[in-house]
Amino acid sequence: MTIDDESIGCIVGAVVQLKPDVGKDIAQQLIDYAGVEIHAEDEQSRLVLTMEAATGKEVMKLTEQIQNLDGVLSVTPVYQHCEEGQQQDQQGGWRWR
Amino acid sequence: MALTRRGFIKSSAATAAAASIGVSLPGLASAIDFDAEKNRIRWDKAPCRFCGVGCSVLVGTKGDKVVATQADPKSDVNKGINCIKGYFLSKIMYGKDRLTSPMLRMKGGKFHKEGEFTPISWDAAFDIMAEKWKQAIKKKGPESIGMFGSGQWTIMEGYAASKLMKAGFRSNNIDPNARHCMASAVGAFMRAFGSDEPMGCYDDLEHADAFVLWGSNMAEMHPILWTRITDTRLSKPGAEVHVLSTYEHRCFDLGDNNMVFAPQTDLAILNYIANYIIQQKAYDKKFIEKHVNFKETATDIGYGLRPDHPLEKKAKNPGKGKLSGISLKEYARLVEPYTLKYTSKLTGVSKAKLFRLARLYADPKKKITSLWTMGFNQHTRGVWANNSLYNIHLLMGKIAEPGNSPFSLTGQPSACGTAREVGTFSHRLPADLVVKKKAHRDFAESVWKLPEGTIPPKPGYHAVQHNRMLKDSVINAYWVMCNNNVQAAANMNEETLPGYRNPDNFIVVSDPYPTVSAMAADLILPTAMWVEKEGAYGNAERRTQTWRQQVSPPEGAKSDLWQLVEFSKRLKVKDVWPSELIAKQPEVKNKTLYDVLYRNGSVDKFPAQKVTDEKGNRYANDEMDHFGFYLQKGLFEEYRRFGVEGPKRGHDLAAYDQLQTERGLRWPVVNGKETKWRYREGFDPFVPAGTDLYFYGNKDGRANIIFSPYEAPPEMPDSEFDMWLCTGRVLEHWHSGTMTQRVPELYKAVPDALIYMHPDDAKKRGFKRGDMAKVQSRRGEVSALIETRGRNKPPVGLIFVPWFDARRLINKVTLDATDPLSKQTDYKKCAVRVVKA
Repeated sequence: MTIDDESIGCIVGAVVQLKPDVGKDIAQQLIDYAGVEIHAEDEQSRLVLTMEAATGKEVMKLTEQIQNLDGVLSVTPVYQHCEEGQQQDQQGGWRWR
Repeated sequence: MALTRRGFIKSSAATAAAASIGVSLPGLASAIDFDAEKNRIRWDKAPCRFCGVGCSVLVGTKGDKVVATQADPKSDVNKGINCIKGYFLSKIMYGKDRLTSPMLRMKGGKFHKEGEFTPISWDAAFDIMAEKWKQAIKKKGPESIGMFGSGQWTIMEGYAASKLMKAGFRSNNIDPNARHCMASAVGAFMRAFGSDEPMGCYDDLEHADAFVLWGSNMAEMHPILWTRITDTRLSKPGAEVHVLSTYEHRCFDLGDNNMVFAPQTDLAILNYIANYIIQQKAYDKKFIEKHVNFKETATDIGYGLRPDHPLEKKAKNPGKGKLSGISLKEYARLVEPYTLKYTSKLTGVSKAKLFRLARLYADPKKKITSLWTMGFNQHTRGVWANNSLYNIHLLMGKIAEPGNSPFSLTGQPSACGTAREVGTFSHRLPADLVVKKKAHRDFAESVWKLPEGTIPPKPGYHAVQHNRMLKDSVINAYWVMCNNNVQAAANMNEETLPGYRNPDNFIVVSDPYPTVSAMAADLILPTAMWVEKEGAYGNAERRTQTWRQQVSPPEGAKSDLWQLVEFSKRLKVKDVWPSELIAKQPEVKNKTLYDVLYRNGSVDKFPAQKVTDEKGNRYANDEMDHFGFYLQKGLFEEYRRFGVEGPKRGHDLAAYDQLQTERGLRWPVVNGKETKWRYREGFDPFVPAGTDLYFYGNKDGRANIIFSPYEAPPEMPDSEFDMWLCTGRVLEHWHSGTMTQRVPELYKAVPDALIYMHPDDAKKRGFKRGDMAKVQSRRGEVSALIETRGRNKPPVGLIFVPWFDARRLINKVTLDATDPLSKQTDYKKCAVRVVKA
């Protein structure tokens, strides 16, 4: 297998702004999610995060779950790489007749 | 240690995210360089395709496909962060139903208005278009030609289209969808300052002490700017945020003073603040003496409906915008009735909250940035609302300096750059020039090397009239590009669809996807989008940003620019111009519009070349390959002459080559240097030395404070239709959803438009959350699910329904009343009832 044949899926880098003083508990909840890794935290309660999943759909789901955690003020995506292999499923919009 | 490819990408993602908050991750290589070398991804800058904020993103391309995007750390706009729409930006081009062939409605092998869509060649598509265009011009003259354009067109596309319509076909019936979003803002800028677009810039978001949101839901619509406001609010001592809206939304979470007011009564709040400032003698006397004139405007001006509508017949001064000079004393007398007591009663906002807001504006020590978008602009008194806010800033002298900034936000990526600056409106020409002024037409004709009298002096039909004129068979050949106006225009059943399906008309829609508008057309042209072509956008803070073509469009799809210029080959000057005009320049008679407009020695000035970046990466340019010269650069440089040499000062854009290397520059750009604050000495090179501040858009260098009263909206809830309807966008979808609805993740997050309703209203009507209900107005009805707990919380008596959902077309219900001055539709208020489905 060459390096390019490796299946990549979706990889996202994001910043999560926490409410001040909730740090530790939230960090534990975050790393419990599959594919989530914390790389750094700054003094303003911001975490540097990567999320990995097979599809964009799953990364979106993760983002939503994190966004909805108590103590999370915002999730700000910064970097997104997506190689799902096939053309995405279209669900919205009009169907061509 | 050797990393896997996954490892490279992950370290890139982590490094970029860390860098956006100023954290470095030791041990990880610099993401982009590392990636380019090891992962063979080519990275280049481009402005985001979506809203008017104008974030810069880095686009990662591999094998002619965009596989990654990163927020641009070098961008002054988004400073290395994205919103969730930018997150999936790389996917908008890859929807399954991308159009790849022109499609004509056909029956029995030829065009038929009631035929089935059938794939045809580009040649055949332009043949039938040329036939219909020539036929219309021959039968009824150039006024039977119309075009509906876009604030999402690239600058060059807007310019090429405007030239084709106004000089080629000699019809001013071109208007952009920006008419629906920015026209009121433009009208007010011109009335107050004699020059369009904000004096301030996004830097104000860090300089201000307080922010006032007038009807804008920035948390969802302009999330990156909202992040910057959040940072200032949380880090600057004493900073505060005031939010005004007709329903509660996400911005209320951060707001220190939240106000829900009755629709249309913002006009009264604005006058109350002016009255308070005057009563307290808090105004800046010196500023007013030196920099301001006082005016009042004609009142009882109608609602921009058809002239036979009873409300228009009743109005004393329908459509009138006449200004008369008054004194400060007279102005004071006019705002005097707007007392705290009166305003609180009319608006439903508590006295304490209104007082706190007025006191904030009147505090000379507080730097205030006011922000607004559609709440003010989509308003039957939109120009008045915009001007009334400028009045407050001008009374206090809080304008055109860091932090003191009345800031009109935009909705589209190039509403400013393309629609407003290029002047793709029915009454405008580039750089604030207008068709009705002879000196302006003369200048445009000299730049275009065309005979005097080419551009018709009468403004054409505006956006809302387009649909009425199609219905009335006045416009017969019509081209819609880069927008979805069947879904976007108000009162679809009574005006839009009858116009498109009128058998007298031939409707062409250019789009990447089969939108509602495409389905209502006679001919669909498949379009290349975003980084499938080279282009430029201009954002809300006067920043012009260019990008290179990153990938090829799907085979068969062509850019709007290609379509416009290629089609111009199909018509000869003698087919469209009258003989008197041809007599002034007889050598053009047998030439094509392409020869005259685009091979004029200036648009085709720059020969074909290799497109490269500073790292030496190569880029395609499909239009350059096809036409044989650097079309985008030639159009931009010809267009730039309007700002640099034209009769209106202060519109200088940067040269195309400089823009290719910068993250955009804010005009006026003089000697390669941008302007952050217009009209202010020390920042703006057009301000005469020693004047401190000079509003040079007006001849006397002064801005106008213009009084206008509160006037009721055209339709209010009554016993039959007992609720207000407000429409708008949501974070995950952008406008009509043509692009975002095709990203499965975004579709999944917010698949259907909902009826956001107060729980008490739901209970009263016997609805539970999730019930299907019908929203009915005097014009139509639409069904959707009731939501009583969502992120938007309307007050009792008002529902909110977003408009992105093509299967729930709320514009069957909305009223096509407009601001009579700006002609912009009011999507924010009409009377409806909600009944069981």
